Amino acid sequence: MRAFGGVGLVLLAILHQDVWFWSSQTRWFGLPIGLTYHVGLCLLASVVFYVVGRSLWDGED
Amino acid sequence: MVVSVIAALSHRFFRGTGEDYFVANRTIGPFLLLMSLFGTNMTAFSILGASGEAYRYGIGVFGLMGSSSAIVIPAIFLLVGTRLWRLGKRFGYVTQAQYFRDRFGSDVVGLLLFLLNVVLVVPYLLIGVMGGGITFNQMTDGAIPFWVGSFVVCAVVLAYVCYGGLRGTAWANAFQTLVFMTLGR
Repeated sequence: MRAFGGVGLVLLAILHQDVWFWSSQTRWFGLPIGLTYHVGLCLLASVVFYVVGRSLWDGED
Repeated sequence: MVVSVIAALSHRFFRGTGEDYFVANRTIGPFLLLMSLFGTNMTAFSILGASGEAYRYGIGVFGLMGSSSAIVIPAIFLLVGTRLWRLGKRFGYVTQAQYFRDRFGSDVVGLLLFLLNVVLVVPYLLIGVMGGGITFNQMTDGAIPFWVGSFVVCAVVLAYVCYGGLRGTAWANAFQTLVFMTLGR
């Protein structure tokens, strides 16, 4: 799970570099694709951190 | 006014200890933490700064800032926060300087970190104070001068931080979050 967390974190950091959509005029779900992309990225980050947090955090002392 | 009432209410829970003042006796739960974090991040830097940046570079700026927070804040919590929380609980740390002073066995390190924190926080605080002053001024078409708006922001924040400690601050931030979520739609 530590490996999954590490890979997930690196992946999120890479995906966060959104130069490929920055000046695109395309729309997804009624929003500029650059904005929709980050909504999706936030959801992905939620899933990654939820899974990693639940697995690695052993609760209180 | 509501924030002042919140500060007064939170003061009723104050137990008179340093640990209670600085870290609310480590009793901040997940919901209040989330609401407080959201409110803490929605400063003039985010609201006014991001709007200006988005006006210049495009609406993607809002998404970029949102996903930055969605990645960086949980990562810091996971990698640093949980470890520091555990150490803080065990050794009774309530400030960063205390931890670093003990970690490196040096009062100088603790003092330097304290000074560094102050130096780094002051510009951020000034942005908030200036942002408040500008907002008051613009909302009232100049009827409230910039300095008065800034002074009011300083006075209110000073009141709830001094009077309510971290508990009052967290409650005030949570209230701000509710306002943003309700009125920001």
